Amino acid sequence: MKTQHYQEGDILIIAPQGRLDTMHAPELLKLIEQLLSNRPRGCLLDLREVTFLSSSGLQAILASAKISNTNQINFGVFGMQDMTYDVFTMSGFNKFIQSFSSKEDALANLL
Amino acid sequence: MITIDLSHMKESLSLVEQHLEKLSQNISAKQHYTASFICEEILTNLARHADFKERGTAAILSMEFISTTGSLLLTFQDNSEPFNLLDFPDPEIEAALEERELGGLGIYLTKQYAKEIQYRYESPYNILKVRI
Repeated sequence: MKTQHYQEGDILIIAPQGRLDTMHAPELLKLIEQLLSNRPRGCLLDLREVTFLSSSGLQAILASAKISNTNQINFGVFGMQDMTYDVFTMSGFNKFIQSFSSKEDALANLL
Repeated sequence: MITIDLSHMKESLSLVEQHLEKLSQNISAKQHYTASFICEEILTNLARHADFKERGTAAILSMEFISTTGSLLLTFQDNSEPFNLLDFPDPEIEAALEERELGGLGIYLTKQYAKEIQYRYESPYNILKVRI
């Protein structure tokens, strides 16, 4: 899985590509854990290029949200494709993880 | 029918995708996504939790498109000890972030996606049928 990451001001943006499944989610979580140890003010997952999300991918997102919460890092996701957004909402993640339609929206409103 | 070696998940899931591609003229993009999701969840849970004793960790998966109803029937068969994945307790979907557990989502979502889901044990096989 190819993943890019960069800063927008004091917000860390992490953009994985492809399938966020049982084969690739652990490697993404490892990267996120490493990047969050630098304690950015906020962290956004850019999911525009994620074409598939399984429960392993959800677990990586949940673990990232928990680490962020513990370290007072504002955490959110943006740009989910329709079917990945379905998985996200059916799991109830939309109730405790901020999700935005676009990067601009996310950067303007991340709490 | 696809024989799945549960000890080689990467190759197994790739095989599932190849078979789904062959069905892509008949099934919708949503059915393709859902089938891919369910296969990953069922097969990874079998690999982690089923007790195969000395029998070798294999499962047989069949995918049948039913044109009269436009549905796709996934049948998983394995010869582990009697094991019903549907018995897994559902996660607390309403729980807040701090209380939310990491596991249990895959089978819960499989149940949500399925139009029909049935488990039975016919010695020596566990048979799980999921219609989407």
